Amino acid sequence: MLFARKFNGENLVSDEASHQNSNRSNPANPSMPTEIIVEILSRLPVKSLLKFRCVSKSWLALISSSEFIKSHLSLSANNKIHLRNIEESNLDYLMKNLDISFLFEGSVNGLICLVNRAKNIYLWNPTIRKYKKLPDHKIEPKPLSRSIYGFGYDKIHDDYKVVLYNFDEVAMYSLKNDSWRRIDCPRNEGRLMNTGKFVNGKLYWATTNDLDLRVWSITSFDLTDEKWRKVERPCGNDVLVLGVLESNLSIMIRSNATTNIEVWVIKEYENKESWMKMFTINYTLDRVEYFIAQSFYLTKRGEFLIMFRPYNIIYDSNDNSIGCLDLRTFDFGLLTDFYIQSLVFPFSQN
Amino acid sequence: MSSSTKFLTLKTCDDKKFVLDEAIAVRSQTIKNMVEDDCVSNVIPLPNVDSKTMTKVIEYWKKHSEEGISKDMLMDFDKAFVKVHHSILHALILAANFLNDKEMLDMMCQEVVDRIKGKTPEEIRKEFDIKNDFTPEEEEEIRKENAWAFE
Repeated sequence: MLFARKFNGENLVSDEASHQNSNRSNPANPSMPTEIIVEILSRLPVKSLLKFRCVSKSWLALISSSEFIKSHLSLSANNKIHLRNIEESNLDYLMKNLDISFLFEGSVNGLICLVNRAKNIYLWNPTIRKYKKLPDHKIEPKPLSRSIYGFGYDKIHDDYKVVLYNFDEVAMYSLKNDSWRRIDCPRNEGRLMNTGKFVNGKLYWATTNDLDLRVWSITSFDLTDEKWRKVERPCGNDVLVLGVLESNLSIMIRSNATTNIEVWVIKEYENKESWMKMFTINYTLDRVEYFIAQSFYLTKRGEFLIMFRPYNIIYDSNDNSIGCLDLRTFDFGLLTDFYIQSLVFPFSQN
Repeated sequence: MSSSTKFLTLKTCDDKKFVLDEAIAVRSQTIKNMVEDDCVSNVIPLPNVDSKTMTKVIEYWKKHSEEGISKDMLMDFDKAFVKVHHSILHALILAANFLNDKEMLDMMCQEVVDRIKGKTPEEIRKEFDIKNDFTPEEEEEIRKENAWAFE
């Protein structure tokens, strides 16, 4: 960090490099223009980039700049270049060696939000091995009510935000300001359940009706305009579990007719009609199990994984089998929509 | 609007001329813009590209413009195409950048990435002809910050 700050003021196009360019008449190996260097470095895995910081001052300034970190991120997010480099991720190792008291509360742009038993909140980038403990939010825990979290990225303000919901008190942390502030509560009789799911600037929570715990809906929170909204669900009002599949908001519900698991996905959030049923799993979970399910994922092998605390079910659509999963031996690199590698610092860059 | 020229003549920096079907040459966005702006006279000068490199570029363009060529065949061609000495690879990247052929540039850059990702900083300096402008103490400090990445 020390040198990164020191050289941040320098122009990324190193003067020295461009002079070399014109002075050196070595046709066999002319120097690359900076735009090409950026093009190449943006595709490298994080571990190589951390090594290449010491190549030269201009490379260090480039790799540390927030513009570069963003362009690297967008390539790993869009082109899924990370798939090739998954063997270099140490996420697996760290997930398995995490203290059991840490709970995973979401992952955005390579940053992971974790909460420990003492309710300390951490932002962690396992790829660059940096973490930050968030300051105290000063919201008292309520008896019989669990704190609910959501973690996401506000593109407009270029800021990572954590929302803490304690039923009648809501606070939001901004990484940019490194501080918490109170925000409005959602204006309905609902109660947010489980961890918020982040999709495209908004957090989504499964919500129960406080007067009737059997009635479930979906509540969204826009990290930019800080407005709470209701999202129409596809059918019924039974218990639901939220997830993210292929970067779209998805829900898992219990079919009324067959009690099978149905998975739906929405693409246009303002339009109830755009909910589409993706698949049905010929398996029955109890309503209670829906209550304790945290989320669901697809694996790169085509399996459907339901995460519970503390055990997990994996459904293999290839042979229609159901199994229990030991997270200590599970390869997290297999999950889609779970984690990407990035250089994003879990610190305020101001 | 452009008059429907069928063939274009490209002239490289070492004064070699290449006559090429316009439909193929416009894989280069740079050439395409010149054709569309109607500023193509007889010969298009390519002051940043030498004939050796241009021969390779045209080989790539022609293969990728072949009718009925299968995806697998193109993949095999691409794989073989990028297996060149790094000085040629660098020259091709500079040419693809000047000619503004995004597809070719992406492919060549990915090849460089595959070649360099496991290398040491010393090897990178050599490959890109970069002078180490850190003092040994500065370099040591940066290395220490992410010592695990060097394991």
